Amino acid sequence: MKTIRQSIILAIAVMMVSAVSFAQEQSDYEISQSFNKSYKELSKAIETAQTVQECAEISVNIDALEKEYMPHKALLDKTLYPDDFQKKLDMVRGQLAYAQNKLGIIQEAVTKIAALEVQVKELSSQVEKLSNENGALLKEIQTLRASNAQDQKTVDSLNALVAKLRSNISARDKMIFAMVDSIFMQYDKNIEGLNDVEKQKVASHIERNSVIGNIKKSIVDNVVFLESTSLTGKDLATIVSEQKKFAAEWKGLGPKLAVIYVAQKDRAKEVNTVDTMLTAWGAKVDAALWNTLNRLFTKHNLTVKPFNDGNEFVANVIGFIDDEIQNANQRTEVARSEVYSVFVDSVWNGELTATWMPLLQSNSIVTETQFGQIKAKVDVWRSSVEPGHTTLYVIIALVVLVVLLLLYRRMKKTPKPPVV
Amino acid sequence: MKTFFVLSCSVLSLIAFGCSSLTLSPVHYQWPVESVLSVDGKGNVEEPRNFIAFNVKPLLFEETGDSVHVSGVELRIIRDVDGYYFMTAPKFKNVYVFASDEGKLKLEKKIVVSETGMASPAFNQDKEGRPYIHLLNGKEKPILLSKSGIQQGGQK
Repeated sequence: MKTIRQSIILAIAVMMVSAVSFAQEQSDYEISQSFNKSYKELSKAIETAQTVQECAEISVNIDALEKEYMPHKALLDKTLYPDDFQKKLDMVRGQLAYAQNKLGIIQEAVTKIAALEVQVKELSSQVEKLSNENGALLKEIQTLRASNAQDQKTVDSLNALVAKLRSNISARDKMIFAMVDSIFMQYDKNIEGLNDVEKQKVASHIERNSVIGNIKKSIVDNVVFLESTSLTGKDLATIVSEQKKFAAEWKGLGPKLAVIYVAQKDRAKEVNTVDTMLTAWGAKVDAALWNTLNRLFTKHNLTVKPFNDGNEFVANVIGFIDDEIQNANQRTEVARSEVYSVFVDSVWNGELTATWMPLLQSNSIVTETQFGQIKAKVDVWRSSVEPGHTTLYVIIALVVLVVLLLLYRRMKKTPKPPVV
Repeated sequence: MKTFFVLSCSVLSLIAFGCSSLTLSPVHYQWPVESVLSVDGKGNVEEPRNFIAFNVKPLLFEETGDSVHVSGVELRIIRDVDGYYFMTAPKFKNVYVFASDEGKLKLEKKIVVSETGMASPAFNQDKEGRPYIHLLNGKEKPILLSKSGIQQGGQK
């Protein structure tokens, strides 16, 4: 039995290994052809290069070519005869150095810009990788939600997926803007100071890295995430802050892109589209924020009137507390005390002061004064449901008096010992 | 005198025998990578790198039954370590193995590799140094070929 099992495991392992090995086999001819094609493109690009940025980009592409084809060195050494792989790379690097020299470009500047371009390429590939991963995560989340399974295992995996997706989306957002920064840092001049040809070159650099496409995709993913997950106050604190950060980054980038795309109406339209999408995203975040906060009260059966902005929120919470204080005589003490306890323990201390108030205040949705107003109202409510200190002291004094009186009576009743 | 004559004859015949049996081996004929040759209107192909040129009309007729519409066919050819030429092309159901002969290529083996014809065939040499030719066809599992037929994969 054990032998059969071992044989099956071995067979599966062999099948897996052979599946992997055949899946990886490429045509040597295609490898050789594709190397030659890329090489020719690089050589042609060197012939037409005019600027330090172009030379830097070519330099980075030569390094990338070397890295990509190094595993096929043995094959290329044969197919490139009488040259070989290394000789070909030396030749194209020599061609680039000659062209730089002819254009009066200093190698140091090329190296500096090439380092930035490497960053752009790395970030661009990471953005792409994260985008694919996020798409898969979102599908998994939607499938799990559609299954309606409520068991602990499903809930745990759903939470883990949501957390992973949130962190991925946030990481990708950061990478996109870091990538844009690295692109713009390659052009020393102020963007407005660039001539039309230079603007065109920056535009094609941006295009090659799908900057606007990635920004739009990021906004779409953020909105889909918002719509496909149920959020807590803590989640919203992160989401609101991410949205604000994204909007602030775009505020810096949008005008630069508008200058770059001034001659390209289609692309300029894209910049406006991002503005519109960003506004819509902001509105959805706001709506999610107020929905979640409204739900916090309804979940605990607290009849706070619905609100859609900071002022309404403050007014309606104060209104609710006022009603509770004013209608005190219409209900039993126990009922009043229970509503107060739910509000203070589950909502006020549990969520509002710990999570929501910092979020609302830091985003200037509710001011500190307004927070103070609610707090003061809660204090008034407390004194209306709890006995005041004076009453408490009077009760304590009465109890002490009664105890003393009882002791005194007892002492009086105790018979005196007989005198000897 | 007689002894000298016999000795001389023996030495000369030994030298003559030695010359005729002189062999250099092993010889590796293999091409590192296949060639993709476009057939012209007359059915000719020319491989400039390894200097071989021939007419493929009989081969195309054998495979398709048509020796007229031959122009533009993309013939894929590779030589194995023993010097045999392996040839095929897109839509072919077979791989043809030829041996070189004086001024001609002689069919050594016709290997059936596909029932419907291959979409994008390609040849590779064996990376592990075995005397096989790998036949690739898109995402299908590679078939290992030798001059005598399929060695691994496909239908033997």
